[in-house]
Formats: sequence, C-alpha cells, structure tokens
Amino acid sequence: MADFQEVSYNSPIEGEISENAGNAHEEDGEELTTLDEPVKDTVLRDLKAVAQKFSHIVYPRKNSVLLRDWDLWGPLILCVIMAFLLQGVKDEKTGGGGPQFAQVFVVVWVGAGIVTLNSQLLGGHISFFQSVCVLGYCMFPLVVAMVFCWTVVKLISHQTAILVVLRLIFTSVGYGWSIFASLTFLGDSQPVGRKALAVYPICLFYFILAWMVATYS
Amino acid sequence: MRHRYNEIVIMSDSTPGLDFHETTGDKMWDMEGQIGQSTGAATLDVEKNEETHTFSKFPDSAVDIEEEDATDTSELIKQKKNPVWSFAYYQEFFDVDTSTVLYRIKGSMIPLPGKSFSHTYIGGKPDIFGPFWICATLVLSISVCGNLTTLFSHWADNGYSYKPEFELLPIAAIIIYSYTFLVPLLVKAFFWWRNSSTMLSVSQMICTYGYSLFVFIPASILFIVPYDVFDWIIVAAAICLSGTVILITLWPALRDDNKNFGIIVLIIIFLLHAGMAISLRLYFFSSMDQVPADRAANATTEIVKQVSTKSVIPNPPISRQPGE
Repeated sequence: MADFQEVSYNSPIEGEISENAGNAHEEDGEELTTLDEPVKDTVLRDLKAVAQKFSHIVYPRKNSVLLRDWDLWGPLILCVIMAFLLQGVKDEKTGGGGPQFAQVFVVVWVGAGIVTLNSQLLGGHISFFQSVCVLGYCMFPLVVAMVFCWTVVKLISHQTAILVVLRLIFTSVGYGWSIFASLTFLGDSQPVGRKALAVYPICLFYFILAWMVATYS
Repeated sequence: MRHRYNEIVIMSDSTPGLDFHETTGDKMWDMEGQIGQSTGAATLDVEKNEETHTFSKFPDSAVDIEEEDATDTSELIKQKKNPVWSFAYYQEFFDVDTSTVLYRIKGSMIPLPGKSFSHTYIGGKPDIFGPFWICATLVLSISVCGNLTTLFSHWADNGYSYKPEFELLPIAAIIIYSYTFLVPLLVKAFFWWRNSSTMLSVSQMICTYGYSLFVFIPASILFIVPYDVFDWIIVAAAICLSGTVILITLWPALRDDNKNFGIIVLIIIFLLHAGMAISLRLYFFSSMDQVPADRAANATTEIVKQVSTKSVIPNPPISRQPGE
C-alpha cells in the first residue's frame, strides 16, 4: 500500500461536471424540468410517440422503434375503441348478443398474454411487454375495419348482401394487414425452425378479433 | 492366485500392438517387449511371484476415472430435472419444431395396428404445445362453424336477424380442455390402481389425447353442409379414427391385465371419446335439425334442453319454441 501523502488545498475546488456543455444542458434541462413543464407538453410528447408507432404499423417496415421504446398506451387506446364499438345490447328474446365491453378487454389482453407466453416458451428472444406492445399496436388495421363496419351498420338500417360482403372484405383486409404487420416486427425474434409454431397463435388471436368485427350487426 | 483387473490407459499414437483385455490368472498385458517403455500410460510393474503390483510412471493426466464418470452422470441428472416452479421446466414441454408437430398431427390421423402413437411419434419427448393449440383451434372452429350453421339454416328466413352466440364459446372450451387434460389423469390413476406396468406418463397421454382431437377440426368445418346423414357419417369416421389411435396407444398397458377386463376398459374409453364428440355435434350444430320435420325438431330441442338444464347457462337460442 502506498503511503498517504497529505496534500493541503489552499483554494476551493471548482469546475464543471458536464461532457458537452452545449447539448447536455438541453437534455439535463429536460430531465430536470419534466415536473415543471406544462402537462400539455408531457401529453403531447407521449402522444407523438404513440402516433409515430401507429404510422409504423400503417406501413410496416423492419425497424426496432416498436420493440425498443415499447409502451402500452397504444394498445389500451385501441382496445377501448374496439370494446366500445363492439359492445352489443343483450337481446332478451334470443339470449344472444354481441360481446360485452369487459369481454372484449379480456379477449384482447389475455389473448395477447397467452400468445406472448407461447412465444417465450418456444424459446423466443423477446421480452413479455415488447411482444404485448407489438400485438396491441398491430390491432390497428382491425380497429379501422371495425370503425368502417360500425359506421355502415349504424348509418344504413337495412343491410343488403352487398354491404355484408363489403364489410367482410374490409375485415379480411384488416386481418391480413394485422398479421403482416405483426410478422414484420416479431418475425426475427422467433426461434429457428419454430417460426410457424409461434406465428400460428398470432393468426388465431387476430382471427378471434376479426370474427367479432365481422359478425357485428 | 487369480488377479482380475481392468486398465484404462491413455494410448499415444506410437504404440502399436497393444492388446487390452480383462485378464485373469497369470497373464498380464500382451505387450511383447514394450513393458517399461514410455507409452504415456501408467506402467505396472509386476513382481516375479505375481503377488505385488505397483504402479509407477503415472501419466501426466492421471485422473481418477471413476470420479469423472460420477460427475458426468450427475450433470446429466441435473440437466433432466428442472424444478416445477422454474420457467425452464415448462420450456421442456414446448421443445418441438414445426416439422415435429406436423409429423405428430399426421400420425394422429392414421391409426396403424401395433404402432402406438405414443411410442412411434412422441418418443420420450411429449409436448404440450400440440394439445393446447389443437384444443384452442377446435374450440374456435366449433364456435365459428356452429354460428355459421345457425346462420345458413335461417338463410331463407327473411325476418331473422343474425346474432352471434358468444356464450357457446366458454362451454366448448370447458368441454374440450377438460376432456384433453383431465381424462388422461383419470386413465393414469386407473393404471396406477391396477398396478399395470405401463411406461406411459401423464404428459405422454395428454399429448396423445390432444393430437387425436385434431381430426375433429376438419370434421367441424364439414358440419356446415346441411345434410344430416352426411354429418353423422363424418362424426362416425372421426370418432373411429381418433378413438383407434387412443386405443392402440393404451392397449399395451392393458393387455398384461386380465384380457376381458382390458377389453371392457377399452370400450369405456372409446365410449367416452364418442360421447364427447356426439355431444359437441348435438349441442353446437343441432340447429340444422329444425329445418326438416317438426318431429325431428322437437326431439332435438328436448335433448338440448336436457343438456342446458344440466349446465348453468340459459336456454341456447336454438330452442325457439313458442310458449316455452
């Protein structure tokens, strides 16, 4: 052990602890003043991130934004819209009816959870919430189809065969788009030789949602 | 005096003609003229009276071989057994490739006498992926096709507004999942009670039952065709195919037992399988029976009412009888 040498400091120590004085100031300012900034700014920033992710779904390309900065706001918004539009009135005569609000919620979140669990058990290299995030965001085309079907059903009281076929076509297109988008983002994280095994439950999950959309009346 | 010993010696390339064998009696190595030369092995010096053996010139890598073997096998044991609460334990049940799953599905539809599904297709690696997702697909196909048959049977009826019957889905799920996962437990408990020397584990039986349900998926899609007779032919064919696969798998465990008793057990298992299939057909697809004569319709609604009173759900929409 080296001997201690006493050094006396006559002048106070001063200096700046920052790497790049210019850039870091902004970042540090952001980190420090998130509490002080108006709520509008915080909400807008998060909304911009969510909207950016939606734009990635509309035109699916392989990038890692969805996976890296995952959030569950988008899936929640989509799920609420879907459940709100899909809820049906319980028909007293026949005993049947559309799904209730809570049923849609359960289907979406439990379904996404089970599909993610399956992918992880097969040996996939993706975290739980990243996968749930991607699956939730990829519901977007189906929600668009749902809005279209809802508008058609509510505006036109008598559904002709052509309208039914049109709704079916829209739903099928939404279904295909959702699957294509989720494959683009989740495809690489599946283990080799088991890709079909991990993709099949995704197809089942979106099929359930598409079925609910298609049979809405 | 007889000396028996085995040697495990590390051979170097430059030692031709070494002959190793279990020696008894007075013969040592057949190592003509090479005793004492450095071969990289431990040399055994034998006294002339063959009673004292001393080892000299140990090789550098003299490891106690028995210890090495022991650690190897214990590592093997550690590899096999994961604790039940660890994630890796459940990953073992999903350790299958796409080709394996497709191969097992193909085998579940083609029963061959003598070829037990468990032995031929599962081997020692049962999986839960197949049974779980085949059951999920079956639940979905039954619900979708059941709704479609209701829709098509009222195609000509203009006053009918289609309402999806979502309450059927949980019931179908309960029936199918409990059949796949609970009945093998019962069968295994039965084997345990009879002390039958079966090598079938619970997971292998769940695997067999799960894959055997695959044939009902195309069957349920074919139920959309509105002909009654066609339906029952399909049901019979599906029950025969899948039931035979299950019976062939379970037969080796039962034949050691009293033969007649084994046959009776097989019949019971087959009837259970048939009962499940027929109840699915009647409960989810029976709306088609209303289109022909009223007598048939009344009979079907009677069966359906019997089933629905036994369960807790309200009357399903197919029993639309005025005044009831």
